[in-house]
Amino acid sequence: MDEKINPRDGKIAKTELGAGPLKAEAVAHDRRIDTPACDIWEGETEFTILSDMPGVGKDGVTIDYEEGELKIYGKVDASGREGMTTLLNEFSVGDYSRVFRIPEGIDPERITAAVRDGVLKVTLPKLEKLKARKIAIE
Amino acid sequence: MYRDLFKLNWNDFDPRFFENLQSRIGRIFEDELGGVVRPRRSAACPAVNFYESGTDYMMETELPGLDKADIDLQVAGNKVTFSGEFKPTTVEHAAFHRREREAGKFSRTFTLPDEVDVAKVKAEFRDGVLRVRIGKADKCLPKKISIEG
Repeated sequence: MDEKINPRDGKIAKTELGAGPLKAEAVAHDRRIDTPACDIWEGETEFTILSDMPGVGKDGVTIDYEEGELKIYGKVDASGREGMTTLLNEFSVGDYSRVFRIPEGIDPERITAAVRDGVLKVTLPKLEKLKARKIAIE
Repeated sequence: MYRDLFKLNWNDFDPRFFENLQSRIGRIFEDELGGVVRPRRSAACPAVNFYESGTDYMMETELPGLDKADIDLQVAGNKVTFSGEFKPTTVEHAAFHRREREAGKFSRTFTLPDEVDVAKVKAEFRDGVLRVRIGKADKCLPKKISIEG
């Protein structure tokens, strides 16, 4: 498959609306937010969430757990295209956010998270008392 | 004749069909209702943005979870090709609650408006985003002409 890029298509008009802190604030509130695709699985001792967050580094992740809800937020560094015009635009860059209802029996103190190559991994260990136990039959 | 249509070979049946179906249906709903899950990645055809400045092109594509060693990138003439594979998540002794991250192989080729200089290509893979800066060939760059007389 060969795709031709026509510089006359998909060009976005640029309008500068002044500079300074006021503009920066307006942009910050205007950020696009996407819901990231996730794989979620349940093992014997924990739940694991893998979430695609391309463009999010270690410092851009915020994770909150409150009253059975886990909220993940990934902030994307959208710099690096200054002074360039768009030739082809198949995706828009925005932050990521998603909230999960977590079943009871998770130990919030032991939730861990790591981000690598744009994929966030959150591990939610189950409380000890809820772990499956093999019962020996005497 | 119609009966042949129903002769499905179940050995060829892709077990991911229903998982993909779930995410496809989800996508219809979220497009219509402004909604729940918006997986941005298509495994077979990763989305690409192209930018241009006076001297360079820049390609940007999102390949979360790939290793940079597994991405094949080639530039020649005025063509750029990248290919690779999103590997499926495999876990043992676990039950999937959701499986939205698609797996599969991809390869895309683009033809740029101008010829490029292979010596002026810089590729960077950071946080799952591949950015390739490609310098235009010298003969395609604008030249300032001094006016005599």
